[in-house]
Amino acid sequence: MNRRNLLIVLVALCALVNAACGGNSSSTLAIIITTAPTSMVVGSTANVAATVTDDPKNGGVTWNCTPTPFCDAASFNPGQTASGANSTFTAPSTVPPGSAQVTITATSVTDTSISSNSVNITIGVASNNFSFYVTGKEANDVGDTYSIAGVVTISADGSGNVLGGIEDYNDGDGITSPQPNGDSITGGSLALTDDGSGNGILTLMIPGNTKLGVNGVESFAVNFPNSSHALITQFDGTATSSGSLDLQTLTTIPSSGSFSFVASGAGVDGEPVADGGIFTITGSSIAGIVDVNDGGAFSRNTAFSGMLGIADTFGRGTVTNNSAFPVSLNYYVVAPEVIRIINVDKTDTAVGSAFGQGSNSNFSNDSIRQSVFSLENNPSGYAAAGQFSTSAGAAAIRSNSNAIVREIQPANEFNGVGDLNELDGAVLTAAPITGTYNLASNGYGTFNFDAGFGDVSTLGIYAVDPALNILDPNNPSAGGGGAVLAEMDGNLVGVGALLPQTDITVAHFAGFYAFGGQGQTFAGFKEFDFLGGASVSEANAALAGTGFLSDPFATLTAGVESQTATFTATASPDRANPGRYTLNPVAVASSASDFAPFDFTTVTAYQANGQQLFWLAVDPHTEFGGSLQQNPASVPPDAKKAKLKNQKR
Amino acid sequence: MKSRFPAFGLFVVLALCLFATPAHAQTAEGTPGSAVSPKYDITQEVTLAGTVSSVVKSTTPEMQMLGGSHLIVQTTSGKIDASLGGYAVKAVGALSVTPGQQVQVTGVMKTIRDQQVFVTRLVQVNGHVYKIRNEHGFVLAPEPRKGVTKPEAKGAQL
Repeated sequence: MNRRNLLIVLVALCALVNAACGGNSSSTLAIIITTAPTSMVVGSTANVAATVTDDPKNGGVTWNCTPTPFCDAASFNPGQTASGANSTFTAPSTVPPGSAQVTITATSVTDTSISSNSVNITIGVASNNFSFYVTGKEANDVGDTYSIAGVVTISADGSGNVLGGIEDYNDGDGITSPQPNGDSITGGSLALTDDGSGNGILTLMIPGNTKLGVNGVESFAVNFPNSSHALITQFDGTATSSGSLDLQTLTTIPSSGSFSFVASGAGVDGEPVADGGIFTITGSSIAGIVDVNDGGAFSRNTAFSGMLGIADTFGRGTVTNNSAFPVSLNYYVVAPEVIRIINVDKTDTAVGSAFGQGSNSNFSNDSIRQSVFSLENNPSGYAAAGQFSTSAGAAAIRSNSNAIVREIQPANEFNGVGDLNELDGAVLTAAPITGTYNLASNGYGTFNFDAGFGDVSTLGIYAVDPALNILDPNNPSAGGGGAVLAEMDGNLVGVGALLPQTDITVAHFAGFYAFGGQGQTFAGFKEFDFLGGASVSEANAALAGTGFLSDPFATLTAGVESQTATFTATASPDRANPGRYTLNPVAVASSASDFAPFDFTTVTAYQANGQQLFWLAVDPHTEFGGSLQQNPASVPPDAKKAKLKNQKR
Repeated sequence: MKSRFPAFGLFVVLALCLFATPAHAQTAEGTPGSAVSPKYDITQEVTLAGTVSSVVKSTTPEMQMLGGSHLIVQTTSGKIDASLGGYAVKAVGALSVTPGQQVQVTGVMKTIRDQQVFVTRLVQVNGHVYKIRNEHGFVLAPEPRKGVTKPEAKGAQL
């Protein structure tokens, strides 16, 4: 081989060696981000990783993020990783403007000219969804009964910003949220006072429907006895109402289970309406029995069936049915055993709740023992509350020096005491109540009152899961079980609740409480609502509260929406009826002189347990019904979940 | 009584349901053996005729009268306080009555707060009949309610 040929061979050999050593491999090096979130909450962290192929030096990648100053290379720890290895990415502390996104990339260490695909990450704030409902009256000449149910998303960063939501509004008289989409909540705020009372104002902006609230802005007074539950009252002068706001823990409709429900509202002619019943969910099908009281014309034990639509991201869905009558219903899932239901027909309105019966529901008369109950109906203006024992467990034991004597009532009787205020009828305090009841295994039953408790005659009973707190579904520590009730006679139309009476210790009615009431006055049958937070002294049962009074009809005041209402009273135990208290009077005033002081002169409370009481005003000219619900953090140390000896759990 | 469609849903499938089995054999209306008398006993209704002495559109607490509107009617048996509830004289299509007009009122006389009150279900004036309450004594909203097209809807002239 001559010298020239040798040179050619050497060049060729060098080329081959060069190729074998990857001298030209940077042209095939590739990087793909294989691990990255699509969305993150501000300040949170997540793993990111990238796979590098054809890297002759296995140099790995360096990470970067834009736009600055929201993020950069310093957002990654470590900032350089091997192929496939994780780096921890920290999201910006604030939401970037515009698209609210950041973009991350990985760049080769071996060849800095080569980078990965870009990955966009949406940055948001932590938030909670709260489901809410109210029922009350619009502040117009007619005083239409109306209903609202919805879900609101509230930022969890402490700002109280409302990030979105949806609601259904219906007054059955010209104002109904568009269907099937409802009204979108686009903003607003939850502003709590800084006095620890739990009081606050929730503002919802619904620009798409200026008929709601004040030109599309609804305001509600709230009081939170704990972080997942509030009493709520519309408070913007366009209407007044009462209801509940609860942390939403589920957004999908259960695919199975048995439920009990009640609802109330107004019919086509403005007459009061109450419904109750039970149903079972099987997949997307629903079937059960319903009782209806339409302005005193009632029907019971009517079978029904229907279909449940798929819930959206707010847990809102539709119920369709096979009825020959066009009735439109929407539901809002709150929790696995709590669903709010609202009628969105344009000619009538109602809202209510369905509560689970538990996984092994097998009810009987024995399921109802010593209990407290409440009943009310705003359109027709009455309220009732009381307590009773049943033959199932309320054995009265008397002992003397020689023997223990036990009185056992017949199998299905109840007797106790109650207070009732029918503005156009009976006004009774500590009235004896007696009657009979029955409860079937499916949780459906009836209370039949003997004559003597005004016009209260027959109640439908719809039993709930013994472990479910129907006043505050996210707080199982405060009691559980009972039933929802609906008046099923021609005299009265109302709904209510029955709770097991498990603790009548006077000293346990102490601590901090959310309280609320909805009522009317004799002169006008116009509604007022109030709520707030109160302390009850263990030493002398003194109640001192602050809160809100919603009186757009000027039925108690000159017509104010006061945020400075004060409520003071002393709860006196009724020695003849342990568990019953009188608060005569509950004095209401305004710390800012918004209105002239007045008294609810005769108020009675019934204690289910230290955390839950029903109360009502039994004034000759004013009635209200409502509840007191304790802040669990303020439960007295010795107040355990006591049970009377005869209480079945 | 005309069957009225109830407000809340009611998944009611009266004759079409194929799925559920009734849990109790109860009659459709009326609870057997109720010991409580009717609050508004339609069997005790009477119709009275007279001249309107005054119209109380809205009571005040000082009046010590049942809430809502009233017609004070002079009949041959004396003056009666005809309670019209909270809506009767309000809104479009509501009852319009002036002192001196001849009216017929149908209802039940009751004692409420120690006073005799004529709980009025119907008011007939100028040849028109206004329905104030239903047959159970529940006050009805004035007509017409928006979205209601039924001719028998409440408050309209019958």
